[in-house]
Amino acid sequence: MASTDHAAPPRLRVRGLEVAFATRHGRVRVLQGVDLDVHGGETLALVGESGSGKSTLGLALMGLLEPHAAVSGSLRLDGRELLACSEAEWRRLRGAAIAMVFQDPMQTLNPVLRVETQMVEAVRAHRDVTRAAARETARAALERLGLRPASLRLRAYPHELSGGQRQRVVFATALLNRPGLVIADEPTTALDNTVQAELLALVRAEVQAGGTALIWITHDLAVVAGIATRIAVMYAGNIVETGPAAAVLGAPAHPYTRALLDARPENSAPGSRLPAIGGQPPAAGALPAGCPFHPRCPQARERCRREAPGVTETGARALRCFYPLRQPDA
Amino acid sequence: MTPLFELKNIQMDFTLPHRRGLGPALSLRALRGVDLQVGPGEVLGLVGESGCGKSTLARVAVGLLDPSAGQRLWQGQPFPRDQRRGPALAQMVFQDAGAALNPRLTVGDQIGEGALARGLVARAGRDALVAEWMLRVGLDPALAAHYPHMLSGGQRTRVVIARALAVQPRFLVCDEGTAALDLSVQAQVLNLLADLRAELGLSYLFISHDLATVRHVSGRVAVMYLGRIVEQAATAELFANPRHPYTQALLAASPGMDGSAPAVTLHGDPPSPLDPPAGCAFHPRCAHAFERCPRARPELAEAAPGHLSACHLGRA
Amino acid sequence: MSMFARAHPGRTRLIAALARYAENRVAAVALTLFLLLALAAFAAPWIAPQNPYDLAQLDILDARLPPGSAAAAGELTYRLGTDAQGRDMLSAMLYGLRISLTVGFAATAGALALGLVVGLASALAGGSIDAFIMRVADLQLAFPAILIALILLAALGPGPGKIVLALIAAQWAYYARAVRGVALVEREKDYIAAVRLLGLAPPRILFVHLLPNCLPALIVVATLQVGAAIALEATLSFLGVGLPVTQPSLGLLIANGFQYLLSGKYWISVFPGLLLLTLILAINLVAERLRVLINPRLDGI
Repeated sequence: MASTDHAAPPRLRVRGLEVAFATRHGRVRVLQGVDLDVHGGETLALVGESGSGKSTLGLALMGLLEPHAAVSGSLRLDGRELLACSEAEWRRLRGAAIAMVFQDPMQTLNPVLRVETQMVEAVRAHRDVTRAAARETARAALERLGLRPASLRLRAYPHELSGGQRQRVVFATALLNRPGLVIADEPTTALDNTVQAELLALVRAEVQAGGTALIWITHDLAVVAGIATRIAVMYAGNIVETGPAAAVLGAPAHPYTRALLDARPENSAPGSRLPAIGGQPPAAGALPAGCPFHPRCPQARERCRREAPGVTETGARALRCFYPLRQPDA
Repeated sequence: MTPLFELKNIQMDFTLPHRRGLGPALSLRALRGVDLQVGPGEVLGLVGESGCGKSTLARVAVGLLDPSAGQRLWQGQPFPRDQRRGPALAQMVFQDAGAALNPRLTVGDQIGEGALARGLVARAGRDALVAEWMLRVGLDPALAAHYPHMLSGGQRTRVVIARALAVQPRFLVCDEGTAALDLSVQAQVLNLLADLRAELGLSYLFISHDLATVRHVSGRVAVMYLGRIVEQAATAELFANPRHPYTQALLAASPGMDGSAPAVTLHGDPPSPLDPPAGCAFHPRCAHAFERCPRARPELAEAAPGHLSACHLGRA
Repeated sequence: MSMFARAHPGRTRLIAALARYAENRVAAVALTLFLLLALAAFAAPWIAPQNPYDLAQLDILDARLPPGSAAAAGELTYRLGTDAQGRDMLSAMLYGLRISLTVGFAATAGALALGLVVGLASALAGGSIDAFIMRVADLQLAFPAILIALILLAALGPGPGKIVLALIAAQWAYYARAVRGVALVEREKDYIAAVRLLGLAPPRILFVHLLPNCLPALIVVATLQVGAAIALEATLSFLGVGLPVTQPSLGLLIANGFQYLLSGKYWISVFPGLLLLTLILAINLVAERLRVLINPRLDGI
């Protein structure tokens, strides 16, 4: 948290974001009014299981939702309302103010162009610099992400690189133009732990230095344990708990966060039964009444079945639960 | 005691067409002499990063791939070939359950198919058998008439497990069988695998890149790097006392839950199996490498009782 | 009787598939148009004002009448005019459509069946057998389809059965290639590995598991090729080697009117031409939509 200045306004401010799709079974609301702030230099880990809406949120932030999605609420980057942007304006934003990294690096890399060509193009698309200067910018960016020798890697085609090296190139490219917001959707899920650990640390350093707001979407709490500044846990289309990473992981207040942490094998004695969460996450079109987690929640009481909990804020932490496990420290 | 299942000096070569369509074909040696034993009722964990050959090893172990060299033994005898009747010996739980199911058949058909073909059940008893296995893996038998795409990821994994178990194997190879699942569902499936082992006396080869999962389920763990086993020991011993620098790095890099950042102990990316480094394959990334490492390959040898390691460090 | 009553997945899946198909309006119109044309072709004997094959019904005095003319004898009105033999164009086109569609579908079914067998054999055998079959297919594809068909028809003589044979000979190689490609991809998938591991007999793996999963991709190729087969048949008939003059297909009708085109008697060629164009366009649009549905990543390309 050291380098994050919370007195400054957040770079990204999401308020009441709702996303719904029209399907044959009627209108299905996938995001249920998400509120979220991300400051410059901060790494926010957005954690959730499949169907929790985390990827929909990521796509909404990138303006990549399907055209028939109904989006409402507010989505401001450095004060600018993104939901009012036209498709042409989105195109200008993406790559300059907003960058994205996907799980499969080949989704963003062009297989028939050298790394150098792609990165130089990315620099010059948004800045008026010479080819040589752009090349130097690209080389330095690769070097900072641990791709050495960078000048050699610049000459490579994507298929000549390993998965880890490709993802380094994608991150280097995403950070080239010092974007205000970077959204990384499961960027290291396909990578090995040893590679992942190094990449996480390097990206975090870059983000802090550049004052970028980074949203790291993942299904695995453990991955983000050491790198995230803050954690936001999603369940059934909403953020159910958010707060500083160490506080949330150390003393989760929402029963769902607790259950997720407990389900990790490293938190149980070898060979013992894992405290699994019973049942399945609910489908977006079939949310239970009341708190959406109540059918799987060990602490659910009568009220949870009837009413959906609103947000309670305590200091830097926020929560959607009537009966938190431990009052968050003020 | 004779192990239930054994691999002896397994090598596996793949021939790749040359990139430009001309010139000599490239040979990729995915497995470079692997020895493994799995005892009755034992769970052997196999850890390694992508590209180390662990999926190839899984396919060789169940017989989907014929090794280029080496032996597969079943209770000390050469593995019987092509047996199509009676109980199966080995089955596999695939990483991507969605891809491992035929999208055009109901899950009930797929679970019952093997037992029917092997004569383990008469056609009249098939549906009852399917229902029994579905209940056993925690699926509602009413789902038998569903197609795979109508199920969740966790349910599909259970179908794949039920299909494998319905042919009554004694040895189950799990190749990242739970890696694609959500955490809450992964825990359910790991519990299920433990229950089935206890009830049926199954042996597992449990392959994963996730140390925490392997540690949780295995009695013994083997660590693989670039087609070779580099360390092997009882689980508690290996995690308490890792000998090989690669194992040490893997342990350090695995994320902890205490909020601390995983330590960065390895730099760069694993080498390509097409062009493995000379000597010890790990030496270019190893913090302890010295002059012998690039020159000679360290054999896998006992570093402590029951603890095998392939490293020059601490050897005369 | 299975205790798992199939939850009538067939019907709901069909409806769902149709709904997805119709999300593209152009494709929905194309499919409707195609179905209407197919229906008209099927019903030709009942809806055509005249039987154009029955020479007794033709009156040479009515030859080359413009659209809307009345017959010299009888009450018939030639809405689309008549050809050089005094045939009602509308009737001739309906019957021609019938022939074109029959020949197109029969040839496609034949070529698909042959290609399926050859392609699967090639993919499963592998090695030198695979290489040999594929070189034969390459050789075949290196010849223009029209040339192969022309040579065959010159040897066999005209007739609907013969033109189907010629079209099969000209087109099987496309299917063989496509089947082999799809089968090689499907064969490597885990569900095939899983059933091999279960110990199922190879024929069951082939027919229950591999083949049904290869079919969707082939149906797309086949739909496109129906259009190609119809066009090829029309070309052959236009050149006068396809069908006998007494049973004109669309191609032959176009050819018949060709010599009058510059003398202002446009209808003999132009109406069958437009019908052929509409038919092939509709088929190709349907095929394109199927291609996108089966491989959704292509959407928008």
